[in-house]
Amino acid sequence: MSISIEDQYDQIYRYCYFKVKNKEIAEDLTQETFLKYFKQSSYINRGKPLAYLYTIAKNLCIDFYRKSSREEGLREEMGESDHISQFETNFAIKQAVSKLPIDLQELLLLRFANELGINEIASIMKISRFSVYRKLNKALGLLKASLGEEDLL
Amino acid sequence: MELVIDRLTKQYKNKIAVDRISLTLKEGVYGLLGANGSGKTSLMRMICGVLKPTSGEVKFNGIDVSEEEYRDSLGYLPQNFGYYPEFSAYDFLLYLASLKGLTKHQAKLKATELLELVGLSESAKKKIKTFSGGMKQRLGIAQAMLNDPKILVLDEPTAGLDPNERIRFRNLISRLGKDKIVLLSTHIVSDVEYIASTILMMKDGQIIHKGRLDEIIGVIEGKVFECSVDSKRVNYLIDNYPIINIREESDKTFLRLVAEKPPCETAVTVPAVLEDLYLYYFNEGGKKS
Amino acid sequence: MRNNLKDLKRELKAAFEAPTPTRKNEFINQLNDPKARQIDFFISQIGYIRKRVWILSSLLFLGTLAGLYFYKVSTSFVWVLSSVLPFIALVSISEIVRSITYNMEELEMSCKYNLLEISLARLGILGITNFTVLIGILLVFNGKTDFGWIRLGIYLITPYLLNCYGSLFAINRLKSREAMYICGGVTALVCILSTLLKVGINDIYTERYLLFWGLTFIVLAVLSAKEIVKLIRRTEELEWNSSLTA
Repeated sequence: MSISIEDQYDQIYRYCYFKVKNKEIAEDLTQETFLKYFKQSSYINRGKPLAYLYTIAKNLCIDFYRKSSREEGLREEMGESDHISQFETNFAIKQAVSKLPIDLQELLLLRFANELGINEIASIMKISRFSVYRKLNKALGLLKASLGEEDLL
Repeated sequence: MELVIDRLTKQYKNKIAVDRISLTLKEGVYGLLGANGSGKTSLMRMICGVLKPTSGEVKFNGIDVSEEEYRDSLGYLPQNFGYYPEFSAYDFLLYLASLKGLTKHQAKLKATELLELVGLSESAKKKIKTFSGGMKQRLGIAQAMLNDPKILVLDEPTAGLDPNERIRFRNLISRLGKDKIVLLSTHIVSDVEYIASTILMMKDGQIIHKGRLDEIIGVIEGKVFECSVDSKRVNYLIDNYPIINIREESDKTFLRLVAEKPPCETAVTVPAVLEDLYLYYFNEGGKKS
Repeated sequence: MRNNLKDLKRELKAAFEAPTPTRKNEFINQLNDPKARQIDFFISQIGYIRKRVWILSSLLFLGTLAGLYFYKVSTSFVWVLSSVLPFIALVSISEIVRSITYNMEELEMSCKYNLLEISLARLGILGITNFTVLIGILLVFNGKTDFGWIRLGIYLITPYLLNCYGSLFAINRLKSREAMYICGGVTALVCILSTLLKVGINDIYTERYLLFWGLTFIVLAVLSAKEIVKLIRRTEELEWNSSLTA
C-alpha cells in the first residue's frame, strides 16, 4: 500500500474537478476513488499503484458523465466552473488551456499540476512514453502559439 | 441492492405465523399492513435475525441473515424495547453504537447527529426513565440509524408519536427510502398512504396484496358505497356486507360499506381509500358478497 | 527562455487549481479509524459491567485478608466465607442476564455484535473475575488451615456452585423478567441451607464427609456447566412467546 492519502487526495481531487467542474461531486468521486482503491486486494493491479489510482478516478468520472448526461444534458454545455481563482493573472493561460483538445488538457494537468512522471502518465493514459513526450510538446507548442511569447511571464 | 425473502415460514406448534412468504425488496419504502396476529412482527423478526425461520431463507445481496455482515447493514426498531435504567439517551446510543461496531469517536459523532435529527438534543443527557412514550420512540428510531444501515426495519414506529412528530417522522422516512430498503409495519393506514411506495398487505401469515397504492386499491374501486338507511335496513346490511363505517344520525344510520352492486336504493359510490381496503380485509364482521 | 518555462510550469499549475476540498480530514480520519474490531467490542463490554461486581469482589477479597489478619483461621471462618461467596455468583449471573431483565434482548439480537456475543463476553469477563477471586482466596489461605488446597477449594466453592446451578436452573425455565429476584431468592436459600448444614452436622468438614463434598462438587459443577450452555443457546434466538402480538 504505497499510496498515501494525505499526498494524493488533493491530486486526485484536482483531477476529478478538472473532469466534472463541480466541487462537491469532485470530492465525492475522490473519496470513492480511494475507497475503491483500498478495497481492491488484487495485487495484479498494484504493480503501478499511482496509475491504478488514477484509472479508478478516471472510470468513476466517466460513469458520472454517463449518469448525468442522461439527466442534465452534456457536460460541455455547462460552461466554465464558477470557481474564482485567486490568481487573476493567469486568466489568459486558463483560456488558452481550455481551448486545447481535452486529452492534451488532461496531459498538462497530470504533468504540471499533479507533477506525475512520464511513465505514470503513459500508464494512465494508456499511450507510449514517446507519445507522452510528443503530445506534451504539441500542447506546449499550441499554448505558446495562442499566447504569443511576450505574454508568457 | 436486494433483500430476497424466499419461502419464509414460521410455525409454532399448531399455528403458522408466517406462511411461505417470498419477496424481493429493493430501495424504497415498503408499508406492511395487517391486523394483529397476521404475522407482521414475526416476519420482521425473521428479517432481522431475531427469530429463526422454520424454513426458508433471507438474504441481503447474497449474505444470509444469520451472518454478522448482514446485521452490519441492518437497523431495527422493535415494537417494544427496554433500556438499562442508568442510561441517558446519549448513553443508550453510545452503548448500541458499540454493539453495532462503531468506534468511540464515530459513536459520539453519530449519537449527537441523530439526537439532533429526532429532536432529542435537549434531553440527550436526561435519563430515559423520565422520557414520554413519544420521546422513547424517537430514541428508538435514532438507534436504528446508528450504523447507517442499508436495511431499516421498523415495527410500529409511529406508535406514541403526536401528529407533529408523526409528520417529521414521515419526512425522514421518505428521505431515507431513496437509497435504503425501509420496511415499516403499522396499523395507521395514513402513515402508509403517504410514505410507502409499495404496500404489502398481510393476513394469516401471507401477503395477500402487493403493489402501489393505486394498484391495490383497484380491488375495491367502485365497490365502496355510502348510504343512509333506517333502522330496519341497518341490521340486514350489517349482516350481509363488510361495514367500514357506521354513524348514528338523528333518524337514520349512515353506513359506508363494500359491495359488488349498490346495496340499497339510496347508496352512492364513493372513491375508495386505503382504509377501506384495510377494513374490508381485516374486519371480522359481515360476509363478503 | 528557461525563465519562461519555469514560469509556464507555475502558471499551468495554477491554471488547474481547484477550489479547496473541505472534507479531506474527515475522510482520512474515517479511514484511519476503521470499524471497531471485535476486541474493541469486548473491551467496551468490560466497561458496561456494573461497578457492583468489582466492588463486591474487592470487598470479599479484602475482607478475607482482614479476617485472616485479625482472627485465627478456623473452620467457622471457612464456613462463613463459603456462605458469602455465593453473593458473587448472584451479581455475576444477574449481570449476564441483564439484557433479558431489562427487555433489551430483542434490540441487542439485531446488532452486529449480538446478544450471543454479548453474553459470551460477559460470561468470559465475569468468569475470569470470579475465578481470580476464588484463586486469590485460596492462595491467601495457603498453609493456614489443615485442609489441603483441593479440600479447601471444594469446601469454599460448593455453596457457590449450588447457587449458580439453582439460579441458572430457575432462569432457564421460568419465562420471567424477574431474573434478579430469582437469583436473590436462590442465594438466600443457599445461605440458609449452608447454615442448617453446619449447625446440624458439626463435623461437616471432617474426613467423614469428604466423599459427600467431592461428589456434590463435581455434580454441581457439571450441572451448572450444562445450564450455562443452555442459557447461551437461548441467546441465539428470541423465544417465541405466543402472548406477544404477531
